Amino acid sequence: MSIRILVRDRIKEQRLVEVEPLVPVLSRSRSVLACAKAYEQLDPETAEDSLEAGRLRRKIDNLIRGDRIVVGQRRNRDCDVKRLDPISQEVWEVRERNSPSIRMFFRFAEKDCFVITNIRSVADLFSKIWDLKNLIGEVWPEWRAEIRLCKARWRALFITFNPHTGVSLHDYVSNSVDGGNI
Amino acid sequence: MTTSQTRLMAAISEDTIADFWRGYFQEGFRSEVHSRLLELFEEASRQGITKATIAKRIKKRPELITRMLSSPSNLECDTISDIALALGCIPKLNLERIEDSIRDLKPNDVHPMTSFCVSVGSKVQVSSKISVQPSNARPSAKAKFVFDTEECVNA
Repeated sequence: MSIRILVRDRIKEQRLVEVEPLVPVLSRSRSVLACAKAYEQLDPETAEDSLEAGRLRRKIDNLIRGDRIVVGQRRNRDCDVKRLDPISQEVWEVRERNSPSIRMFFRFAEKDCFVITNIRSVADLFSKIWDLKNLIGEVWPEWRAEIRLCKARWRALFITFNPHTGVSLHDYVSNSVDGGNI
Repeated sequence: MTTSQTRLMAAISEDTIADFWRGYFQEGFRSEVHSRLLELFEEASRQGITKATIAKRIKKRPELITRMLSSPSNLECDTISDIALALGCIPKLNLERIEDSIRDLKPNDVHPMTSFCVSVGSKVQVSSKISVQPSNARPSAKAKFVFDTEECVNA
């Protein structure tokens, strides 16, 4: 069975939504799917009426359109998208750095196919005061929690299917540039 | 005209344009500027021009140039002009009528997943509004969008 069949079934069950650009585009070379809860923050009908929500949605629509994106590695902070540590977990984030900073956590179902599992503001991620003893391997506890949540939601959607993996950046996403090369 | 286009035209025809749409188009413009500057920078890189060279030409720090080129941001007109000039270009602006911009377009390049799922078309119908506003370094009372693992597993 292909993961596409599961995706189609989850869409029918309304547990996944395929995000469609709000303005017509000439290209939809990438596909973005969102868990129902995450989609509520992207749909103009249900999202908060704020500049940040609109910007977030446009960021996704540009992703779908196939716009050039900057992919960061490890500690690179200046990028659009980055894979979280440990990289073996294959959990990524779309980074919105402008205030308020927001992170959209996702995994790849296929090359250029994003499955967003959660959206959090960075302020909320850091809202809890963590004992520094919990800081293992310089991975903030909240990010570890988000990785676990992403994996849990993925499992609930796709059961035994593993996320898409690759060797190089271009195995994951087309029309991209390595943040380290900028 | 599709439903979303109708909704868009209605939204931007209001006496006050909703913040969502303002943010949406602001980001669109930022992305366009960023995309063009990045493209120019990559062309310049192939000719041996570095960020340090660009930074020196416009009296900015190299790390600022990195940040500006790494993702879309709210650059000032003066900064856009400076970077463009350093890359050998003069910025020009093109304003397009909304009706022309959102005319019906059929994508000529569709991801296979989209093609496979296109017949489904189901969307989640929800009525509650969810906030993405940050808390002020306090546990957020608006964390409705963070639901626990149990709900996920049982979904």
